[in-house]
Order: sequence, then structure tokens, then C-alpha cells
Amino acid sequence: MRLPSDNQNPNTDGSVRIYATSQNDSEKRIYLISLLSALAIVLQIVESMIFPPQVIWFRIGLANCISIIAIYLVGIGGAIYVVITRTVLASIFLGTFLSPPFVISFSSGIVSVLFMGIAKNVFKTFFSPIGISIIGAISHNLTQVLVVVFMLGFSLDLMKYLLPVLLIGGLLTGFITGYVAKNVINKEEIKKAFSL
Amino acid sequence: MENVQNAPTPSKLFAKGDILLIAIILITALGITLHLFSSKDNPTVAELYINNKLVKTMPLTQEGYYKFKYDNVSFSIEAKEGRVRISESNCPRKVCVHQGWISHSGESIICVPNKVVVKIKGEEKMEKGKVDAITF
Repeated sequence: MRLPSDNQNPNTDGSVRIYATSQNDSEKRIYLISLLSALAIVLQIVESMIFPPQVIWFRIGLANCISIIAIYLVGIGGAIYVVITRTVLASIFLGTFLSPPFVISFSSGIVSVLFMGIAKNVFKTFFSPIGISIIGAISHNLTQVLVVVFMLGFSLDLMKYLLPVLLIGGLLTGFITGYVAKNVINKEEIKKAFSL
Repeated sequence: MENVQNAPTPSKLFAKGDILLIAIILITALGITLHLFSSKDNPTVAELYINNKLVKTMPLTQEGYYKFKYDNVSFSIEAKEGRVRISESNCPRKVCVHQGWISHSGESIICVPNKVVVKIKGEEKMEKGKVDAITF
């Protein structure tokens, strides 16, 4: 990744370059949000290609990784922008815009970012990005099931059979994405490049 | 940006809160699982359908052995201690016999060649007349 410090070849292009050359703080923030959104969209689309459509309810949540990074780099407000852009644009590219999968991923994406952001702002360093990610994954899973229950009119009774699966699944996927996000956030290059 | 500096050092995999969080989640999941496995519903009646018509209801509280013979079909059903099975059948592959005992409400044994369904009656979990997942 190109850094703002490597001034030896100033003609190179790319988001980071634009980011580094912009003077204004809010402008930098917008560049960073759009960069993260682009990454998240790509990850979401790639992930939907990895898993067959039969297991639409099971994802590692690679795009969720970007949400965590966004929370650490641009704060909760920016992360919500990233999630909205990601779910709307990825669903348009995948052809699922305004269909049930979109409603599910949109609502649970926003709820999970809210939970993660609140957990991070309230508990500060009590949780590492892995913990934050687990919180996000589990809240994502639970919201997803609540939305489905609401849309299909099932009784909430069914949820108790899913709870163990959702909790353990969220734990595992949350750990994976959190581990990735943690390593990205702790990279010296990232810290240097994106310190506002 | 101060947020980035707040991030814990990479030397430690977990922060204190993470371990606490993981422990709570594991305990909760384990507790719910145990609760679900330990709480048994007590089905009392099994229903026998032949050709999609309700032919007989069998109580599961007492032991019972039912033999059926008509046309080319013969099979027998055994019920005891809250469970039921098809113990013999003249169907070619004997899928129904190999399925063994069923004991939870909503479970069923289906014998396709003989057009026989044995179903344990339970409360309806889903409301009728609502949209189901197939509609999407």
C-alpha cells in the first residue's frame, strides 16, 4: 500500500494518494469512508460467490471486517455510512436490491455496527477488535433471525432452537473477522497512513 | 487519530473483555443446549394415515401392537413408552422399519410404497395461513 510518506514517486495514483494529498480533515474522512466502502463491496460480492445460494444464511462475514476497521478508523458515524453504502451497492450489483436478503443484510448490518460502535466507545480498550467483532457477529445473527421471524410471521419460539447455533456461529465467524481486522488496525503503515 | 492509538498492542491476542465475552457466550450456548435437550415434550397420541386419510389414533401411554393387512399391504406398528415405530412391513426397501423409533411431536415415519404415514401429534408451532419461506 502506498503511503503519504513515500514522496519519492509522487505521480502514482490511487485512493491513498488522493487521501494523502487532501488537506482538509473532513475531505480525508470522506476519502477514507469511500475507500472502505469499496473494499467492503468487493468483499461482500466475493463472499456471495464463495458460498452457494443454498446457504445464504451462513457467511463468514468478511465485509463485516471492514465495518470493524471503519469503527476504529472513522468512528461509528463513518462506519454506518460504510455499511449503508456497502449493503445498497453490493445488493444492486448482485441483483438482490430491495429483496428479502437485502432487507436482512441492511438491517442487521446497521444494528451490528451500532452494537460494535457502542461497545467500543463505552468499554474503550476492555475489548480488543476481536471482542468487538464477536459482539458484532452475534448481534448480526440475532437481528437476522428477528427480521426473518418478523417477515415470515413465525412464532419467536423457534428462535430458542437456533440460539445455540447463532451464538457459537457468531463466536467463530466473529473471531475470524476480528483477527483479520485487529491485524489490519495494528499495522504501523495503516496507523501512519490513516491518522487524521 | 486517537482511536487508532487506543487499539491494544498486537502482542496479546485477547483483551480481558474478550475472554470474559467468549466465556459468557459459551456458557449461555451450553446452557440453552442442555435446557433444550433435557426438556422433553410428552406426546401422547400417534396418528396413522393411510392414503392420506386418518385411519387410527394410537395412544402412546400404553403398550400397543397393531397389525394391518389389506390388499397387498401388510405392516405392523408398535407403540410403547411414548414412542412408536413400524416394526414390520412388506414394502421392498423397508425404509420405514429401518427408521426405528420416533418420540418427538411432529416427527413422522413415512412408508411411500404402502402410502402409510405414522405421525406423532403435537401442538402446531407455526400459525396457519401465513407466508412460508418457499414463497420467496
